[in-house]
Amino acid sequence: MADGLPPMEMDFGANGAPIVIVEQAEVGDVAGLLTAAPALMEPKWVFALAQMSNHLAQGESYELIVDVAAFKADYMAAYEAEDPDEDVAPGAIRLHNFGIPDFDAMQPPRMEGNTLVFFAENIFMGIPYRAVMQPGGQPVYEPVAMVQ
Amino acid sequence: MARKSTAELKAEGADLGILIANARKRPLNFALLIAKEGVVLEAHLTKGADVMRRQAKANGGGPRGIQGLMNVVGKRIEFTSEDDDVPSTLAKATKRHLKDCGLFYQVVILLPSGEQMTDGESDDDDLPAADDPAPEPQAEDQPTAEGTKPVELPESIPETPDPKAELTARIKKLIPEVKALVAQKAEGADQLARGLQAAGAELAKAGYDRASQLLTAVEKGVGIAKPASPAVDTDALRLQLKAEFSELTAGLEDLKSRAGKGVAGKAAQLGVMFDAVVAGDDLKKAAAVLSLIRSFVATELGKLAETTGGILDRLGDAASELAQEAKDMLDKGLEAADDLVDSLTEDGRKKLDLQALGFSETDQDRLVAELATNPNAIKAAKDKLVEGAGLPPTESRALKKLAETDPKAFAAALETLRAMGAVEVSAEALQTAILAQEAARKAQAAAVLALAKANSELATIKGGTPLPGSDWAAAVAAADAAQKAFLDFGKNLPEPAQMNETERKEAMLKGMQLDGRRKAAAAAVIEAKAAAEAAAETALTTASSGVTRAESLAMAGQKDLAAREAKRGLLDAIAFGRLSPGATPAFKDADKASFIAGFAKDGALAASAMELAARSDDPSAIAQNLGMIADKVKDGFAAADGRRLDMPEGDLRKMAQNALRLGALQGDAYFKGFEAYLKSGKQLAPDPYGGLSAPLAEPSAETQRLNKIALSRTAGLAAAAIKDGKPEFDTPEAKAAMEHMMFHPGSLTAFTPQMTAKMAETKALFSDPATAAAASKVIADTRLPALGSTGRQTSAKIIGGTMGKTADAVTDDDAKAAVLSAMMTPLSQGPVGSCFSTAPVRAIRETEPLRAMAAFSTIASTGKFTSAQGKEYPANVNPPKGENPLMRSWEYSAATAAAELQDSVFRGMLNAALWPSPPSGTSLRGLKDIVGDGAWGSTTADNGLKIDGVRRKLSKAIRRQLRFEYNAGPKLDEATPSSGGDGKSTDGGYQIIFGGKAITEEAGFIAALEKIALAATGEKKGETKGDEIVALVRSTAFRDAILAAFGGNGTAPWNLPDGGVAHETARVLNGGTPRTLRVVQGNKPPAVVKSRADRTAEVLGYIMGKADPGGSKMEIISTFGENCNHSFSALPKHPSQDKIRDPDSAAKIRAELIEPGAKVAREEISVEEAASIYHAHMMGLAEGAAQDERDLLIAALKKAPKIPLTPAELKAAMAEGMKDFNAALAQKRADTWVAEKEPDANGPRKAHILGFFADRAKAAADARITDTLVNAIEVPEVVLADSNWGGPAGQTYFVARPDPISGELMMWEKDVFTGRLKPLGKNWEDASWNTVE
Repeated sequence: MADGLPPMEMDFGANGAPIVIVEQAEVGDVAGLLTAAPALMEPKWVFALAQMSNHLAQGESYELIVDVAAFKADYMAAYEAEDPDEDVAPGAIRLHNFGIPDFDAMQPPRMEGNTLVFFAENIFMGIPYRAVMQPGGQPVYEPVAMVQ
Repeated sequence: MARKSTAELKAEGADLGILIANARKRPLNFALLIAKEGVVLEAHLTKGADVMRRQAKANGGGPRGIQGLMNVVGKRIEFTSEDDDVPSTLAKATKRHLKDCGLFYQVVILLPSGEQMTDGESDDDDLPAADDPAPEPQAEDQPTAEGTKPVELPESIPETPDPKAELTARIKKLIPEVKALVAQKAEGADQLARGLQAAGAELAKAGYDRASQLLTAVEKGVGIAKPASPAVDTDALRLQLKAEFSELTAGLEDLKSRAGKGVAGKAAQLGVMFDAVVAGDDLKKAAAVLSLIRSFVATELGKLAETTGGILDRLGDAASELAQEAKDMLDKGLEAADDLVDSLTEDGRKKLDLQALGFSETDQDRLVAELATNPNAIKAAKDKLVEGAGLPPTESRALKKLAETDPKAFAAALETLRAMGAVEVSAEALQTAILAQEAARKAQAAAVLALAKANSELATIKGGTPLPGSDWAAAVAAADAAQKAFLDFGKNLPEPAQMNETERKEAMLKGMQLDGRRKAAAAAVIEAKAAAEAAAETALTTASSGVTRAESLAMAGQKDLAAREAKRGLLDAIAFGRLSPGATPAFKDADKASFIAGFAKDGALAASAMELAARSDDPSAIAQNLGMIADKVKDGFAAADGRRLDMPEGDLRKMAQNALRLGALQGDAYFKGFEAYLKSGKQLAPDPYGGLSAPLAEPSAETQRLNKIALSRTAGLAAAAIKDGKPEFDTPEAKAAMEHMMFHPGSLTAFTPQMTAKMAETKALFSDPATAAAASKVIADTRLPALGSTGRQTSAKIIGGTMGKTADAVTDDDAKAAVLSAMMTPLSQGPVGSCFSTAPVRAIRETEPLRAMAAFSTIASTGKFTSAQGKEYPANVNPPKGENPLMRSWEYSAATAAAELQDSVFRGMLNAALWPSPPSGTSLRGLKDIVGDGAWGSTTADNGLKIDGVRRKLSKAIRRQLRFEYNAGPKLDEATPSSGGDGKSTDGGYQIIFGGKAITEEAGFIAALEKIALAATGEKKGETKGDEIVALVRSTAFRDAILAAFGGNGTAPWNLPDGGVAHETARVLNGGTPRTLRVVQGNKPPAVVKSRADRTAEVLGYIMGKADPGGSKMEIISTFGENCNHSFSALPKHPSQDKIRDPDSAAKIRAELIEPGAKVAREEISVEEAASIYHAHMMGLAEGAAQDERDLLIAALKKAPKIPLTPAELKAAMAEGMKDFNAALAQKRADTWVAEKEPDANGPRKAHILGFFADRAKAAADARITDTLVNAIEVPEVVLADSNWGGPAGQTYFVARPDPISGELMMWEKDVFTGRLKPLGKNWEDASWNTVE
């Protein structure tokens, strides 16, 4: 139970766009979310803020990474399960298409000053992105560097 | 040391004669040393020249002399020396020594510098010839390799008549005036100089009237000459001199064959001299020699009936002086006198034509004079020449026709046919030669086997094992028996005490007897072994000789057959082929002449050169360089120092053909560069890019090998072209790399012309003023991402892979070079590629190269691909093996972005099916009632994080576990192999994947959802909630909702539409919202089904309709149909379509394509052409076939057509001819099948199996025949589209052209470089054609 936060649920609107239902109100963007639930700006709710912001920005296309070690373990297992000698067709997704990310650079969601920084997995490709959200803005996603 | 006796010399002569005879067959390594008495010559086929030198020294040779390669042609011995240090008297001493031994040969020493040393004596002055007692001119009068020695006036020449003096004075007066004009580069000065030279030549042969006429013209010209400033082009001059010389070769050959020995010898010597001098830098000498040859030929042909004198006897002081003056003028770029003569008088032109045909001067004058009363006099004379050639009527008619239309080609044809000799080339004669060659091949194979056997037996014997059944084996057996008898006797002998005296004596005698036998048998074994060894060695020697003899016979047979085929090929070309009247494209007269001359050198090469020229924009470049390239095949692409490539002739010819192909693309400059490259000897260096590695049998492995070679080549050139961070293609390193790509044997063997073209195109981007600045800026801006930046490692990995380095070793220059390397790599569809990603990126690469370069630069500089929608992706680092990593990274990264977009489209459909809005209890939302609200929704952790309930678990699991993936080639069934992996991907499509496997049926999809739903809810089948979940997922309502969401047309998650979605790739590259729009409906009921011709015309009409002046040259097209789901680029602006564009395009398609096709199919092919096609087909199949199959195909030659046939009739005749072959092939396959798969098959089963293979053999034969005919019979065509299919070695277009057999307009695949065609297939014509816009 998160005392101090209103009840919130991540869902999709009638048009398929991601929404967050704060109590009974539907919000479709981060600004609306923070207006409806200003407590999210408190540092202790940074995970929730990252999760909601990621949902509003990407729906279920990206999933927030909270446990970097678990993500790394899953990633490497999937990576090792691939045939490194396979000649992959264009458009077919393999982790070998991208390499091994810089897991050391990944962290759980956090605030860097007023900027929210979190990592999320692109579900289609299976690779991590680093998202940065400036105050009043939307999250901006950039692929995590590949180191191998 | 005593002088050698006559007998000794005779014996030595006999030995040398054998040696010379061997050298005539093939070059020998030799050493030639000056001895106290004459010279010592040693030569051997396999032993090195150093060994020969030691041997020569051992046989009396001194320290001075030469070594190298010895060759004998006719009566000429050529010693190619390994160094330039040659005793000046060696050639002469050798000749005299040979003469002392009774051998009469001309001796020539060829130096590494290209110079020659001759024996300094007339070729044949020592030859004993009773019928030619006339004394020959002395050696001092002979031309030498250094040029023409000052001509001295022999005593026997009569005094100069008055006209000569007068003309000489006029010439002397004109010389300084003309020289001054030449020096001022006055307009027309060159012609005046040539005229002056011609006048001198005429004067030299007492043609006073002609000389006077010429001088009058020159005097007039001197007054009106104007300044000009053309630069002297030495290469052009060399070519011109060669061309002029080629016009004189007929005369020289005529003199060699018909004149007396002295003149014939001089003719030969002058030819050799010119070849040697013109190859060097002193063109002044070459021009002087040419001048001499011209005078010589003209004079001697005119005096052929006379027996005395040579050209030198007929030159006076004035002529000598003129020759010297002419040298000076020619040094400034003079050409032949003939041009001016031609321009002066009509009669002159006619006489020159006749002269080229070998008519004597008297006959020339007579025939020209006859024209006044008989306008057909010359034609009749030419016809008579043709009739004298002894050709069949068809060829005679063709040759006479050639005489009317192409005089130079006609002269070349006569000369070439004369040079080819009276070789019989009828179908019967060819068959006989082929059979003889086959017999020789078999004999050679048998001899090789015999040699192997002899070797093996000798090794066995030397190893101490007797051959079974041999005398030695018998002796061993006998010895063993004798030994055993002796031992047995001893063992069984009683004790002496137990024997009486008589018994002891008898025993002793018996023992002695057995011991004697034993020893004798042992000795016999030794003797038998020695005899066996001797016999085996003799057998080996005999077998070795047998191989040599058989090889020699096979080689002779091959040579004979090649000569016949060359002549046959020439006559066919003239009668109905590329050189025939009305053939398209029509070659120029001079080009035809060159092709014809080429047949005398290499018939196979000449034939392929004509085919290349027919498809080339610059056929003259091929024609005029064919002779040079043919010579290169003959000399093994030798360097200036004589070192040659050690490759089989077949490989050398393939190299030559590929050189011609590149020359066809790049024009005359290519051939100039090629000659210089060969001269340098660089062709003898290894190929660092692997071009000479052995081809691999397995197709995908071979593709990888070629890709790796291509990658190495582009990386090599690109690295050389980056200097100080800038693209510089003119540095020595870059030039050397480019030369390597174009000329090295590796490049001409592992041939990648498409890639070479891209190299040239990329280079041009930096020199074309329209693109140079922008291209240079792209390269200048390219650099590795900063250390520590996001894309650094990705970029370094791609660049390292492209440049052959490790990621940690790459530099900014490597990044720049990698961009060039990607640009130089043809962006075609890879073996595992998908047209839906390739087509859009290829269209950009081909039409907007700078944009493509910028895209490569971005990936190299950032390690990322950014879609037009602004989303960033890590650049793809996982290209197929051997392919260019940077080039493919762009395509594959775009494909990833497009696939994500398409995934979202399918995902939306799937979500709409599984999570309908408004909510439905028959969807997955129905699970809420089963698991309850508490489990359904999310919960919240203490840190505010939402913990997924069933709803989100289910949704996420579906997204992660049910994936949409494009499969370039789903395997349909066992009998229909997938096209994925062949680089075509014509039966691909999206599939939904679960657990790593494609779901292709409803049950599989439902089962997958069951698993996901049970896992997400934590329920189990067999329990209440679990069973309820299963029941819901399996319900009809649930299934119907899914089908409805996917359109209700049968499309479902397990049955997604065929084909890919090129518009998504276009979207991520270009932005906007491109869609795939149907523009030509599929050809199937209920619509009226159209003919193939109508469908082809319909598609053609649509494509031409896209030729918007402001539009692109390439428009993305997607086809959908049976095994033809493909995206590629229509070429609406291709120039081949110009002849059928609006107005009245439909009528033009009929007139230009449909009707000509019908005519070709309707009309009969001449018997000669039909027989030629038939012959080529059978021999083509025989090449590389097993011997028994080969025998049947060669036997089929007897069934060649004897009457004219339509293409369809010819196809039937060819099928009939292949019947025996097909039957034998089917029987062989059936026997193998039964032996390996069904050894217990009964009679009816065997018959069934045979029938199966008979059908397959017939089908394969029919396909091969069709292939032969469509490629042999010319019909008009237009290009439709660029298929994406290809690679470094080639590129495939789609074309529309009639089928010459049925006459019907159809679609075809055509290789851009080889021109090879094959039917595209009716399925393509019947497919729906769609545009992406």
